Amino acid sequence: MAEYKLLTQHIDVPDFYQMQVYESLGGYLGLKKAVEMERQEVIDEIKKSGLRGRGGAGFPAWIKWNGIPKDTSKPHYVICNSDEGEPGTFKDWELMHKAPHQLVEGMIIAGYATLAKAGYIYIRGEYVECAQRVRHAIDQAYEAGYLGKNILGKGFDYDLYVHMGAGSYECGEESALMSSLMGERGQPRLKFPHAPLPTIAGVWNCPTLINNCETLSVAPHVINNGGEWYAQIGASTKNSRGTKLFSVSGHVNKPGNYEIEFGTSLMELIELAGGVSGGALKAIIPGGSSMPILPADQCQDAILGYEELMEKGTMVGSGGCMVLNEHSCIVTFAWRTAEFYAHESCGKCTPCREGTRWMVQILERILQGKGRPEDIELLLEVCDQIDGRSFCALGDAAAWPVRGMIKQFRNEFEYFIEHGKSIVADRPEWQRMAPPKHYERYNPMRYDYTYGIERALAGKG
Amino acid sequence: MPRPKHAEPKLVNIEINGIALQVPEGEYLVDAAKRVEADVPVFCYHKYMEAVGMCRMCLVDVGYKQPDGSVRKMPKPQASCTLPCSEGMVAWTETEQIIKDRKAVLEFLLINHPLDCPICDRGGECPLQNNTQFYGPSTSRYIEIKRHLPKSLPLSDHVMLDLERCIQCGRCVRFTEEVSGDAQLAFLFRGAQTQPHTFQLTEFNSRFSGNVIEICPVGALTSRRYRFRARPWDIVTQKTICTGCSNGCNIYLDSRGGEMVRINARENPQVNETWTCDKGKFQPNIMRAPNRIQQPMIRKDGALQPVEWHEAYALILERFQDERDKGGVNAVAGFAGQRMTNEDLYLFQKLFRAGFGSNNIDHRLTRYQGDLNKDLYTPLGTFAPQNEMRDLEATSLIFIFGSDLIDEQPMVYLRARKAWHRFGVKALVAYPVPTEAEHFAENALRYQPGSELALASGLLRALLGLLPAEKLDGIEGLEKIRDSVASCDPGWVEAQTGVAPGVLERAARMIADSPSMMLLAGEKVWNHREAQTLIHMLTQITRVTGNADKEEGGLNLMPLAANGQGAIDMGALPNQLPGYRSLAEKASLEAVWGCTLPTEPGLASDAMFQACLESSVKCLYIAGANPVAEHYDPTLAARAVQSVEFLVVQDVLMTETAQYADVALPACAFAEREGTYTNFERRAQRTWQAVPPTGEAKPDWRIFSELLLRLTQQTPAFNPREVMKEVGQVFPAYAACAYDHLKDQGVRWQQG
Amino acid sequence: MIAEIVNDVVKPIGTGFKTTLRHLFKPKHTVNYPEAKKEQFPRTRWRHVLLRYESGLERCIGCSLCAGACPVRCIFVEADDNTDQQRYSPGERYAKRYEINMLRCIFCGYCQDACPTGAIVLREDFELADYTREAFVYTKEMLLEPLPVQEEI
Repeated sequence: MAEYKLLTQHIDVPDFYQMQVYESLGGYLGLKKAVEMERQEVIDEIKKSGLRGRGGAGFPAWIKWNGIPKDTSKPHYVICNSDEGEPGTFKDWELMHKAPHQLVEGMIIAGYATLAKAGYIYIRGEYVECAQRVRHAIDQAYEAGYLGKNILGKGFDYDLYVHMGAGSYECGEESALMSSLMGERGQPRLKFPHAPLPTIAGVWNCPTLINNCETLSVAPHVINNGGEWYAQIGASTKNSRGTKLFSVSGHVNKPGNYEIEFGTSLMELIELAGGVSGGALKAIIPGGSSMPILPADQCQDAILGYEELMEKGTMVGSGGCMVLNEHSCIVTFAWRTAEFYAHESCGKCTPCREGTRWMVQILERILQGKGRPEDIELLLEVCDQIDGRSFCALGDAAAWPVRGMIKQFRNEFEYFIEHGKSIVADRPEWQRMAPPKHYERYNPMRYDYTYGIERALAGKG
Repeated sequence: MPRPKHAEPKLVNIEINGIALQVPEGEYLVDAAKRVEADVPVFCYHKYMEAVGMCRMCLVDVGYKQPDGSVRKMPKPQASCTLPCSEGMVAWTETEQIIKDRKAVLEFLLINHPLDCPICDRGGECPLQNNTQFYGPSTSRYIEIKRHLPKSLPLSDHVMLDLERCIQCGRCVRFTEEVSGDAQLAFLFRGAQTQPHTFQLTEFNSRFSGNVIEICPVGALTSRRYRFRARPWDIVTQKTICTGCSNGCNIYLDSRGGEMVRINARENPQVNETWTCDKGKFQPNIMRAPNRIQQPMIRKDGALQPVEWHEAYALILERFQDERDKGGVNAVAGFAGQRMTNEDLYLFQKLFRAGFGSNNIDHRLTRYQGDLNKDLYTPLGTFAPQNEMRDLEATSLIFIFGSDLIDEQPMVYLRARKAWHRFGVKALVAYPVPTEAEHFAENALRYQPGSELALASGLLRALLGLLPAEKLDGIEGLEKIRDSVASCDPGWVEAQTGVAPGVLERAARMIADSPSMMLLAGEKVWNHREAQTLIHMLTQITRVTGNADKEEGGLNLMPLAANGQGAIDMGALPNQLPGYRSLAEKASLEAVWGCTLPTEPGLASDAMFQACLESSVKCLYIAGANPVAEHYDPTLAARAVQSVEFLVVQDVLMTETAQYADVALPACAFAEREGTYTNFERRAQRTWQAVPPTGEAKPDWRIFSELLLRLTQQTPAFNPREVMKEVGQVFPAYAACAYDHLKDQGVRWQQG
Repeated sequence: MIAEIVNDVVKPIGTGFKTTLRHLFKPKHTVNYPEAKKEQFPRTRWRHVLLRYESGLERCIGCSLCAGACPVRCIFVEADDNTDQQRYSPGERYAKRYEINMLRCIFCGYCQDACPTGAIVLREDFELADYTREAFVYTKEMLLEPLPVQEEI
């Protein structure tokens, strides 16, 4: 029940991103084993492993793999979602930067299992170095004959491409990612039951397997060591198997990526990261900024696992574990979170487009000391009106953290509204951490200066 | 896959608000809800565009019946505009939660809406206003600063954009992407800053831009022409038909105090769905044109002087009867315009045949003046145009031959584009220069202008080589066809038309491989030098490919003006009586009219004008036409109207032709009278009077009726309804188009 | 006999004159119209006035809501665009023509209720008689409040 290095086992080996080093440490054995198996056997192996999607929803991976049609009347595609935009999450960066071959191998196995014609690795636009490393790895894989025509002499053709995003959090949502990949506006598309699943009609209306970077990186290990072996890891939990990378950030002494076995307790993870810094623990967001917050008293007995955290009212999410110490201001944190989602809302549906902006405006007013007592109820209601009514999960993701923070730390909001300043405002520690004053000026939600059309028209005249 | 024409939809059992009903599978829940009168408000959903589910206004609670009889409800409310109905679906549209959700969405939409309804042109007919009234919150809890954006930006000469009012429903953007296909509008920026605008802030340069005004659910896109002209409660709305082209778009004409203020589309799924083209929607107000003929006029001392109606009638009849008695029936002639209604055209030819005993009557401004009966209908065994608009979606290939579709037949263009976009129908274009239709056509034949005949012959020859023998078996006179095009090998075609053999081959293969084909022929065919041979060739192409007797395929020679089809139906032709009867079959007509009719065929329009020059035709009656400007040979027409001894022109405007008139009669414009028009697919559609007539103008049919009364002393027709009844007696197919049967949507007459 | 005359004639006459005498010294209810005019109640609804803002801009934006609310359809409004050179009212729209047919008007005050800017009000001027029918169509110029007088310095 502690750190379990599977994906990150060799990550500190120098030049692990090079083909020789990766192969010398057991790389591409999973692929070689996979191509000897029947395609259905590969999927069965994934099923046995109990692998669940690491992107946030925790959907069993094998169902997606198995859902791809078994005939190739239309070309099949595999997409790796490496558009890691969740604040607090940076696991994919490490996986792609340090172990790109692991991902490429996973992509080839997935492509083999699903009869795919090509695979796309959709990398977040800011991850330039990662894209370089992955492209380098793909080139080496082509040279080694793991990609291209007739892979390993098995008559299986497969190509891999890297596609860079253009800086939109929304494009991490799978249907928006596919729109973006096809060159359309990065907006989500209709989902089941309104439209067929991506496994039937995904990118270019063809069957598409779309998985997170971490999920696909696990595949070589599952195939190499067998599904049953993988299923033993984390067996103490209800239904979570294997390891998970957590990106621990915030007020800890050693922030970074830590791979742990499911079933490890949350506090153990914090200990791994060197413990809380700068004061006592106040709260933890275990799964990235879009998940509800967990106050310190509930953190003590929290177990890391999909169902285990769900019972606590939060989720594993993408594993962006953010730690807050006692000197942090929850209201400011809520405002910053809400601002992120307002900025990243794609503008397609009404609740998310208008609601997120409204939330920011209310929170901003509170921060300026002009809050009204009824604003807390109003915020909660706006959250309710967004949650579950928006087109995609971004609306939910914007509503959950704010609602969670108000529920758990209502007293701080009340204090801020009553006194016009934060509960921690007088502490020197907070004054050191508080965002600089000029920050507000760059708030993108202020319409008096970001005036797209008017600026453009002014330039035209 | 093309949409099958007569497909029985599979029905599924669903339940809405506790009412069980059967709906076709795949119908959207929002439409199904209308069947049980459960009102689901929408903003982004539009019946004729793909659903996107953006506005979240139409949320409903949905569940599915489980095999054990229980209902499993979905945890979140679902957008009903994108949810296809499936077996066992259960929906609730009026639960407490749904009512709250609607309030929430409206509150969200209104926080950034400027609420300047009093000065908004949409105020009073605004979906946002209506939905707020029915479902919205009474007050807003929003106290922050609203989004402020530029107001009233002109996007083009027709469209004004107000960014503040926009609710980002995306209807306009989707229209330009999906329907008109020019993709002129797009969303700029993201999140709460999302704004629709043209790319690069250029001019909104579309032929269908007027539609975005109508589909905008708020006043963000407004008409510049209608801007501040009237409010919805000031105007009177009348149903009518646009007379811009032969598509016969159904429109609403809105007037304020007898002045036309705007034209809106009227839904007719058979014809224009809910679209209009800019040419029709922003057509000039002909009713208030400065050069209208206001009262009857007679030329005295070289100038047209106003007179009373009866004086004009007396002069016309005196001169016409006089010249006919002196110089025989060929001394008088009549030229009918295609802007006139069926009733007008019928009475006009009756005036000449029964009144003056002359067959000298024609309506054609094109070079083709042959006998359609002989050239087209007999070889095809049916009346062309063979197809209706909806067949475009059912056919598998649309072959556009010699027509700039977007210009000549805008609604056919939209429907053909829809067929390609939505149902995957292929398209093939043959036109001398690039046209808009090439954007979706799979193959384009660009030939030298005037070489249509060579191209058609070459295609026919290639087709005869490609089509399987068993398909060609039953074709009558196959050897003759083969011989006639034997010399048209690809090399010869290339020399004549400039179309490379490979391109021709590909086009022929496309036609040969298609199970059905709709051939749309336009202006370049009508005005071809050897139009008769060309039409013959197109007929043969239709026949050998087996499309002559297919329901979803066929040959469509599309008339170029509003009632070109009606003019043929009504027999405004020198060699054809109403109802496609030849002159020999006049007996039944004589029985109805109670007179004897001439047997000699009359002069076609070219011969008529030539005879005017040679002074054998002394009196010419031009009704509703402007040959000096519109005839394919304007010089001939101009010389003819100048040299003819006595010229009567009856028209709305003082046209170039009317300048030369000896008697000018004022006619009502299309919105000032009622009548029927037959569009290119043989659909008779009714118009209603929308505004009062100008000056002393009379409907054309009344003028003819009054002339006939003075000539024959028979009871005249008192209203167009009676005229149509008589048409039904003469031409049984039109009995189905009597006014009692013509509802808002019109009737497509069927032969036989 | 005499008693009868006194009872039937003199007494009633006396009673009548008594009333007259009594009222002779009471304040008068009538006024010497048209030299003198009675004061109107503050909410009297008579002649319409189109108001201006203090800046001199017209309040009326030509929205035609008064025409829509009017039960006898006696109001006609034609709107047009304000331009920066020719500004009549704040915002985009102003009333180019504003006419009320006073013969039809029933002085119900619905127009005043409907007006979103408080431009049209019914005031106490009740002397509306005239000689021709045409004179009863009140144009915008007649209805509009005069421009505020510029105060001399």
